[in-house]
Amino acid sequence: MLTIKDINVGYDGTAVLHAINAQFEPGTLTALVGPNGTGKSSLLKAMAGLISSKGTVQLANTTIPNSKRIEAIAYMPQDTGAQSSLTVLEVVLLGRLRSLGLRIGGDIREQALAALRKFRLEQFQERAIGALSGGQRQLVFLAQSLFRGPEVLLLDEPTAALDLRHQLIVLERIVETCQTSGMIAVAAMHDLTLAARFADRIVFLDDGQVVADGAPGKVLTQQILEQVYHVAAEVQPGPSGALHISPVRALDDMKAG
Amino acid sequence: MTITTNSAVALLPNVSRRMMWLGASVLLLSFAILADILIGPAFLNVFDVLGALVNPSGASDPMTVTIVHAIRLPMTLMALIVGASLGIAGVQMQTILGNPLASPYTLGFSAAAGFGAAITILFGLQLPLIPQMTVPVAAFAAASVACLMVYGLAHIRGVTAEVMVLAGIATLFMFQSLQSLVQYLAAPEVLQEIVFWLFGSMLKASWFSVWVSGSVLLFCLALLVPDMWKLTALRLGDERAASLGVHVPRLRRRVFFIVSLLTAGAVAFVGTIGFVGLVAPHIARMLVGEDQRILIPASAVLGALLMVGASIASKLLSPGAVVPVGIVTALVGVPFLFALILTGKRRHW
Repeated sequence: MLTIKDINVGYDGTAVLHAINAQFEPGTLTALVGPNGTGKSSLLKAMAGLISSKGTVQLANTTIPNSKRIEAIAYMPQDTGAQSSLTVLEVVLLGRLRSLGLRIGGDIREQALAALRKFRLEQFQERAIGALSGGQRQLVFLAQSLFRGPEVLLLDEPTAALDLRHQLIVLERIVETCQTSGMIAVAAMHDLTLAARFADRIVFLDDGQVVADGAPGKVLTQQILEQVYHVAAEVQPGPSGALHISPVRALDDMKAG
Repeated sequence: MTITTNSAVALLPNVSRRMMWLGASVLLLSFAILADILIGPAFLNVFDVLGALVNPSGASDPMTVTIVHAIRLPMTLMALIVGASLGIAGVQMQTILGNPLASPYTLGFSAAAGFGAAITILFGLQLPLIPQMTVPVAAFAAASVACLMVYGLAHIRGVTAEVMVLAGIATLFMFQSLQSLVQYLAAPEVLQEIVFWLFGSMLKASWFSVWVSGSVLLFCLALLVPDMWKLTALRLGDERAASLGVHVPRLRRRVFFIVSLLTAGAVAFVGTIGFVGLVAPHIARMLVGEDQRILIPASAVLGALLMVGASIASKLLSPGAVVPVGIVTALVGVPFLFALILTGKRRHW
């Protein structure tokens, strides 16, 4: 169980997150949703110890200090491209950076290849990461994160800028890993229909605060969408049974900024 | 899952190809070292030189032993050490600044060393007990001042690549201006001495400089080895490296000081030598990729190869005299780089 208590984050004296509390069960994917600039990325970074924050993060009832969080919690940043000519296999190996020595053991290499195989990327192992498409690159970075074998994986917009096929592959693998290894996954997302389909739970953030938290069927309502996003939207069950969200129009009372 | 256990080394598939390139470079460097020792105003026989190197006491020609050990070997070893130092300094500067145009000179260390040397020559300063060390000590001290200036600014504004590049460029221009001022004020004969130092020449090499610069190189290499994977990760960008557990500002700060030390150690004795620190890492990266376990030794070997090659060319260009090696480094390195750009398939930046 991952527990966060009273997480507060501020930049240059301006509070971005206000006393965030939540618990995350093993084997589940939680979608963190909300408008742009509402603090989703900051919350993930604070949980991973990549920015300074107040509050506590506990894993299995043990409090992890800020400086040690990134050792215990894996974090996959948003894809912003890669100019490097590091090979795909080298990138995956870096997932276990702390345990790599001058020589790479055959077992480690085989495990890295197995991580690539899960995404059908083994044929790209010698290719430069900078030469891959955005979708392939994101799969490689996900393979890198999973190669680490994390207890907790935080993902910042893992499906942003991906085509439909890659969106499905990314989320299917995350859910599959949660179910098979008990990994706790928390992903900041914008696509509410994808969140409704794949996440066990959705946490709505607005103005740095949690405004709704629960199973998709419980929290994905027209009222919440209106309150958080200031849009009129239709929420209906799709063909797969998961909720489908269709934004209709932006409401006039949208807050400034 | 199939676990491969039959190979203790278990090299990655392309690692053996990279090792082959590294091995070929080492072989080429060995030949270049021998050629550099052989070439000079006095004609030496290759077997006499080999004898003088392997078994000086049993060598048939004492004159050859004297020339090799007192004159040519220190110059060749110094070229090797300076080239290796600048190669490593260059690759690390490009890594921590995430900039392909970065080199040991980007942050002004070399310009500062030049100023330190120039001002000492201008005023005829001499250290009390070790007068022959005055210029190297002044060059080293000035490079350290430049390093502290850049670091001080970065410490205040944040140890990011952008801040360091800007602070470095400001430092570079400041010391270049001071250098020009010293040259402007100098009398013609002093100016000649200053300009000769600034060109960079292996004629200033001695066994003492070999030991000092060699020790600095080995010390810095030992400091870099534990961070090789972290430096490899840095090529994915600051945020990704941080997400892999790399404390990026700490790594950048640490490597910055190592680069400063390497550069100061290399240029303090022989003067400013450009191009090697910029190009050797690029050639190395094209041949062996970005895995720093191989990239660091490859940059060192190729930097050394460029320097020793330049040293040979500097002797051949003007028979009977030696053109300062700093003048010919680019002439030697550019064909290499052009060939690799034209034939290379991978994108590196």
